[in-house]
Amino acid sequence: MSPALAVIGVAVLAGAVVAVAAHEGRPAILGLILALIAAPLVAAPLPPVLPLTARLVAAILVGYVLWIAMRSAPAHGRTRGSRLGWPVEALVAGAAATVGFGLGGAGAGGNPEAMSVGLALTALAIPPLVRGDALQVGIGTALLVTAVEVLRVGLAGPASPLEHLAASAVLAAIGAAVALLVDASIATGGSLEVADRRPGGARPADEGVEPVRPWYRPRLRR
Amino acid sequence: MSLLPVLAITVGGGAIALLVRREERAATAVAVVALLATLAALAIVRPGDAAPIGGVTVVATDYGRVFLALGTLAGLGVTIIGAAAGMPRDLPAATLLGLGAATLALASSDPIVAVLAAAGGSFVAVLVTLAPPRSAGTTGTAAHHLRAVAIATAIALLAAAWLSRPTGVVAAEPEAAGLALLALATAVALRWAAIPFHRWAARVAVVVPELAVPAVILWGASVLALVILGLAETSLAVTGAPLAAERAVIVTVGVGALLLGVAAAYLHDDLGHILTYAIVADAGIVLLALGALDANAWAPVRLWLLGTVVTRTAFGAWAAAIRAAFGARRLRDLGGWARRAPLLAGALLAIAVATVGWPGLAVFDARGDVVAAATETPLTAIVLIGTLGHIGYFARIAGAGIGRRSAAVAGGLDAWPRWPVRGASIRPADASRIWRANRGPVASFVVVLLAGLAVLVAAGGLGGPRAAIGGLPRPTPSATPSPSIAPTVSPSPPRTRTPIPTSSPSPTASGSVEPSGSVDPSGSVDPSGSVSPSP
Repeated sequence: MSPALAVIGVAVLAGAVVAVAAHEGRPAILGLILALIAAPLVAAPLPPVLPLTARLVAAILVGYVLWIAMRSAPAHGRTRGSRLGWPVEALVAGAAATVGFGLGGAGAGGNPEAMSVGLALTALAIPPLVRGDALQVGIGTALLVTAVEVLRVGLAGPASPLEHLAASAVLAAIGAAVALLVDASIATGGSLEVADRRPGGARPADEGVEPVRPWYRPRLRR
Repeated sequence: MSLLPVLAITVGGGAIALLVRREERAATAVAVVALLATLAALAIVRPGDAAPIGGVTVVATDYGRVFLALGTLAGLGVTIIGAAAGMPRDLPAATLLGLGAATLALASSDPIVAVLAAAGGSFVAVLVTLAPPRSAGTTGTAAHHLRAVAIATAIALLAAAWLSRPTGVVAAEPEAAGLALLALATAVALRWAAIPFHRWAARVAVVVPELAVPAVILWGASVLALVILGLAETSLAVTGAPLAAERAVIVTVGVGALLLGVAAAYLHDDLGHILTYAIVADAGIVLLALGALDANAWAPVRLWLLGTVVTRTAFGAWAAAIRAAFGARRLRDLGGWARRAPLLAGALLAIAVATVGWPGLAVFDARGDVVAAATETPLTAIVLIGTLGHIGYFARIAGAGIGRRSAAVAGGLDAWPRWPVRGASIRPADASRIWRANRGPVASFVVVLLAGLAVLVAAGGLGGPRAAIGGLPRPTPSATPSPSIAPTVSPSPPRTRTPIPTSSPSPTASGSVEPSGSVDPSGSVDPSGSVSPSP
């Protein structure tokens, strides 16, 4: 195991744990930025400077647009972070990292450290993705795409510079979409909750839509 | 000329349109200018031209050029109709950025870059879902949309990374190959909203105007599908592994998506839902091609995709024009629309012809080839009859059109141009007044043009069949194989399959990528990324 990669991997996972466990928006965003900045460094050899700069800019951009969107969030940007707390998330990440390291870089050019970090990031990314909170959905999305990028390094070796540029563009697109989602949730509901169902049980998305016309209606004998 | 100018124009134009998004007219103008410039740039692109960018060869192919040209024309039509009939904010920017993403995805010789590019276009489409006016359901719908795209991207990237490993000995691991095939199919099904993954798309149909539904659901999905089909063709089909169980599962889901999608489109009363479920049904054909894993399916499905993208876009534009004219989107409120809007009636007929077709029409035959490659005899007939089910909802819409005139239709806009416009003359100062008075007819006219384009593509025009045989660049591994670990098991020889019937020759030497049907007997891909002449 390379000590440098191990240190970078711990930094990535620490940022991701903070991002998914924090109950306030700003620490969560800072954690996300740390994870996104450090994730491309989990590779041997390190990517060239230009692609690395693109990833750095993309990570900061994602954090910046989320920060701006969260400025109008009520209650100090309270978000639906992990209910189990950061120690549990850290343990989950540790367990997944151990399994990933055990896989040992499934491809000939892959590396076990990247598999370890990628699997741990995936484990951390899935819970926020399914939470009904705009910021958490965004954090989950960004972490999941980053996790798969790291896993890809674990499987198939270092990414090409164009792949880093494409990943940066994808992260920027995710940042823009999530910032708009956060803004829309605050504007329509006054919180980060994403409206899935109304209190009465009717789905808001079904508003104004004709229900499915029954094509077969059995005649009941009286 | 390589595709770099196209990439620069679309991405640059999209970024500018995004920056001026609050000024609808400015964003529309930027989009129209950029789309016209894209068309001009595509006209001078020669298939086979390659440019190395960041360690990956970006190759212009005949198919990519035709696909992008059709996408650009469709985007231009949508933008003009949107300017006339109203469109969601960010649709011009999403159209341009989606085209930029498609350019990179269809030209990249690295499948992982291609998947990432397709994903970028899909994430941008979420901006359209979130466009104002926002209702309570908008955020929930957008969150579902974001999750679907994220999970589909993650699965597709993992499968692409697995198949791009430097060892490349997928044939030695049939279980892993089967899992990779299932992962690729799941990614397509999720992104294309095939039943049973259609929930997010059903919500999009409510939140997003009909005009933007193809941009949100179909365009990005079709690009991802093309990339995944190319990956399956070059990495899985060559292994010769039977993968019978996995293919059976995929074909079953494909048949289900196709038949249930058509049935749902028939049962719904709302034009947005009809359009959405028609798109959902289309996912079935792509899944059938993936499940077939057969050389006889690749070129037909690529040809069918060309037609589908244009046809569904024209259908969405038609629905938007109807809504703009009569202010309604339910069939029961649209009684007598055809008599009031004969131009749109003709356009619907053309769209129906392009969707369903008849034997001998290129798209009809391509769809039949895909179904025949994926299914055995009794099921083939059932599925082929099922594909004709599209006639059902078109008949319902047409039936409403010739029915009793509803209040909405009676009070709707005229379909014919107004001239002279009261108080306006032929002066630049009066242009906006004349435009406002004639927005309905302009939208109808552009819908007719889009419908005509759909029929042209469905009939095999614009070089679609020849381009579909050429296909996309062959993927090359992005990482350098480790010399110390060489594959110890040689791959199985490729399955012997009937070659693709080629009525016309493939593109000529320097201007083509290696054709889809040809397989390197060693089972390896060309690491140089260079294009080779077609036979």
